[in-house]
Amino acid sequence: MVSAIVKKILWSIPLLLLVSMIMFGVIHMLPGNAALVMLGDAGGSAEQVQKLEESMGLTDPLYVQYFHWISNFVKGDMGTSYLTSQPVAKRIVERLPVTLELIVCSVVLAVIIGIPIGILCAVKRNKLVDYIMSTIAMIGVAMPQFWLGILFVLLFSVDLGWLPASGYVTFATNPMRHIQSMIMPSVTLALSLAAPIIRQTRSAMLDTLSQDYIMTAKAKGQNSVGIFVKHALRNALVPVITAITSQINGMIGGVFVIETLFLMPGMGKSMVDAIFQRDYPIIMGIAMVVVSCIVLINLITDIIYIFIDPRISLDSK
Amino acid sequence: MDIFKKLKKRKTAFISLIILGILVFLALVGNTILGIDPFETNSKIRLLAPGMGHILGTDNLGRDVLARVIYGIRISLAISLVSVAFALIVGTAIGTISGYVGGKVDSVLVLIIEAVCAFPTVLLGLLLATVLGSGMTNIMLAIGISNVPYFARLARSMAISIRGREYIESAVTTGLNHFEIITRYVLPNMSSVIIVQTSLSAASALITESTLSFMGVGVQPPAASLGVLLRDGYDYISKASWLSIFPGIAILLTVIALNFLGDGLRDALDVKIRVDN
Amino acid sequence: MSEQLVEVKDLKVTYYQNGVETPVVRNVSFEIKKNETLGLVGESGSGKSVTSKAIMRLIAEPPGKIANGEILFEGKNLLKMKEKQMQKVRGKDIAMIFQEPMTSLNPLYTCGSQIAEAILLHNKCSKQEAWERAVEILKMVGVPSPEKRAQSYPHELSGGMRQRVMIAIALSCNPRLLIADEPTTALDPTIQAQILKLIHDMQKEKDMSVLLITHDMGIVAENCDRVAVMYAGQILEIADVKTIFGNPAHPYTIGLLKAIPKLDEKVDRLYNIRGMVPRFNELPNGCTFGPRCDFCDKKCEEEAPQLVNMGDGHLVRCHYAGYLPERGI
Repeated sequence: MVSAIVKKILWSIPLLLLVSMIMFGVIHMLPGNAALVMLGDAGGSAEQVQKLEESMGLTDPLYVQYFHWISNFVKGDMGTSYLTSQPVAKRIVERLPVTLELIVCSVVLAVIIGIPIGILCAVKRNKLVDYIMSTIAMIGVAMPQFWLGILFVLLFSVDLGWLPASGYVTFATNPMRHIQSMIMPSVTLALSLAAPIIRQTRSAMLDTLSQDYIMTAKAKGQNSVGIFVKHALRNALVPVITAITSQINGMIGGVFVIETLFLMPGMGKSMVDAIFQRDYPIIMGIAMVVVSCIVLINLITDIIYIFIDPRISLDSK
Repeated sequence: MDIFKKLKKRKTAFISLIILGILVFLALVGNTILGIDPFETNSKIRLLAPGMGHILGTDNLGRDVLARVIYGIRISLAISLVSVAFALIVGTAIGTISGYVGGKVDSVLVLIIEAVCAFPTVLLGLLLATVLGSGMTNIMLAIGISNVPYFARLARSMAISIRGREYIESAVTTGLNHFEIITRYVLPNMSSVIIVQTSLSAASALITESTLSFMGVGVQPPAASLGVLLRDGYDYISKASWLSIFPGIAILLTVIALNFLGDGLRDALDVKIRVDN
Repeated sequence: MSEQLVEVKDLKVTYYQNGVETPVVRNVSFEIKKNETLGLVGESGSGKSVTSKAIMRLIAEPPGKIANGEILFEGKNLLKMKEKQMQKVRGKDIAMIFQEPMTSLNPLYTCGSQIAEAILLHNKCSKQEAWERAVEILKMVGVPSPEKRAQSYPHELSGGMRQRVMIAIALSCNPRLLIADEPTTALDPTIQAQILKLIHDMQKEKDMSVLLITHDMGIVAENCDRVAVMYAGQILEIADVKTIFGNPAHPYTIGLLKAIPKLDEKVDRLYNIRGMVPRFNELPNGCTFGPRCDFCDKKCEEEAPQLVNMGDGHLVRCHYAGYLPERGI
């Protein structure tokens, strides 16, 4: 079991290295010139640009630049923003809380909504509740996150005037306004996550409930609560966790979209801005953080599986 | 046309096939039949609310929203279908080779596939679209590339399971070479899974396209996908809500139809119904 | 010996198929006497599993439904019981083992805890006591090093061992009736014999009745006291095992017996009954077996036969029961 975990951890190292190489390559194909970006609107003579490029190391071959970047990265130095000369690490630390708050709120909300409704649909299969909830979930899956956000803005800002359409207020400035500014982004992201969780929880539960060992448990005289809690729920846990973690990709993508839509000063918005401004160090830094998080979460899920399901540890021997 | 017969038995899948047919038909010739022009501007009828004359209203330049939405469906569908076709061909090829050959080739390809999968699709699409530059072909390519690993993963796992089956062994003993085995046995046997994935991927590609467009990397005017319409409409959200609603409904309808078709195909192609006895 | 433990009277079970309520078990009546083994024989799809699940009230509703009939267990009608009461019967009075030992055990719990679960449900005892009892039962059903095996997860055991664990679960509360639904179909022939012997030994030891469901006439001959032959949801013939094998009266039973390979006879080709089991939604009007029967005539096509009593509890659902020899069999 320990060796399985160690193997999984070791696997993520070349994975992250490769990711950083791909990122680095892609970013340096971005059109536009970083030196020009740095010189700002005022621009500069060709000579100035040339000089700046040399001092930034942009004239070196790509692999030299990459080696330079990765060796600094390992030491914890992610470089400085071309645009603001602010260290990338500082920018990330600054913007991280906004994004984390958004993610935590929406994931917690999505799980609280998604799993019980998914279970309810499975238990009340083909009843009215199931039809209604499954239809809503199906629509939710088919809805682009930003459009759901737009509809909320239409309803709660334009029509009802209850919540601000965009903007972010820190908790320290005004706690009440802070909560108001967080509601729509979190709910939008949460609902778009809850929809696939409902669907996958439902089908995982249905699959589990049709297994032979459920019949065995019934034949033992187990009551419906016991069958549900002891046999169905725990067996459905693995697919349900898979359902939640499979949404990570979509969730992080959603963070970019939602932060852009609601103009929240988080990492997602930072990243999108940096892409448009060709601020390479920022793009690189945030991308590495994001991808590392995704890899880490997948790693943790794999380890959780080993604890839930005795068969998995055996298979990996 | 065996698949078609089976699909016909499934109401939702069949209805969604019809809806898709109607959408494609509309996208191709709808504006010609209705005699409306998505590009005709008219400063006198700016931001007209839905009603007679302009059923879905007009936009900030006085263009007919119905005509724009129909045109948008054409662009959006074209982008999603072409990009998925690209991902299908490239991804299936990579995955099949990886799974069939195995060994070191497989390990390297898996690492690359996993690395690309670690990027959120929206981020990858955003980066690629920026690198490649805007324009329809580039958007197709960007979305196509970000979908490649999903097809590759699927094709790989299918190839591995097919490779181990007995009919492959017997094919080897009859003296077929690897290329023949792949084209005659491996690919046909994974086709149903890939078909289902194609339908579902087309749906998600459409969502990705609209999202990228909304975030500012999309097709260039005068071309406008449904996502571009939503982005343009968002500036007028307090004055003209219809600009933010109808293109979204068009996306929703198309994606639901594609998803249902995928689910229906999954049931029709991969029968796993257990009769209790 | 003659006292009845279970009486099934006019049982009818229906399933919804494509929106149509289709009967899959009809007019089924039989009884199980104390300490006897009743064999329920039939091809797959004949309704034998459904019948056994109906006794346990384990038919999933919907799509299934027990539409009619009585199932008396020691005089009490199980079909009238509330679900809560029924839960006390399941596992305690009536226990069941299933065909697929590979999937019938929950993969996430140790074998010991799955046996202990049944014990805890029906007995007032501590977890520790239940566990010790589980180990004892494992030993009784012939599992080697039971203390260790109790700690094992199902996937760590072979099919035969898992079926022993299933039997241990079934026997843990000393049931009066054990329903064994094709308990050996998924196992190797050598293991099959061991498992059947185990069931037989346990029956002797525990004074219980067994309802053995199978499609294998060989298993019936060796293990059953009486036999009920099912076809297309109905019982076609019921008698003690000697009568069934020595003096079968229904063409279907005769066909089944002819299809058994015999060691002492040299035959070129084994007999097989022509045709296929009809689907429940396209049953013929008259005798359900008619289309496959060598003796079928106009009467059989038009009129559904009733069970005819041939004496000594030998019942046959055939218009020509007893006359078949004259008709050239």
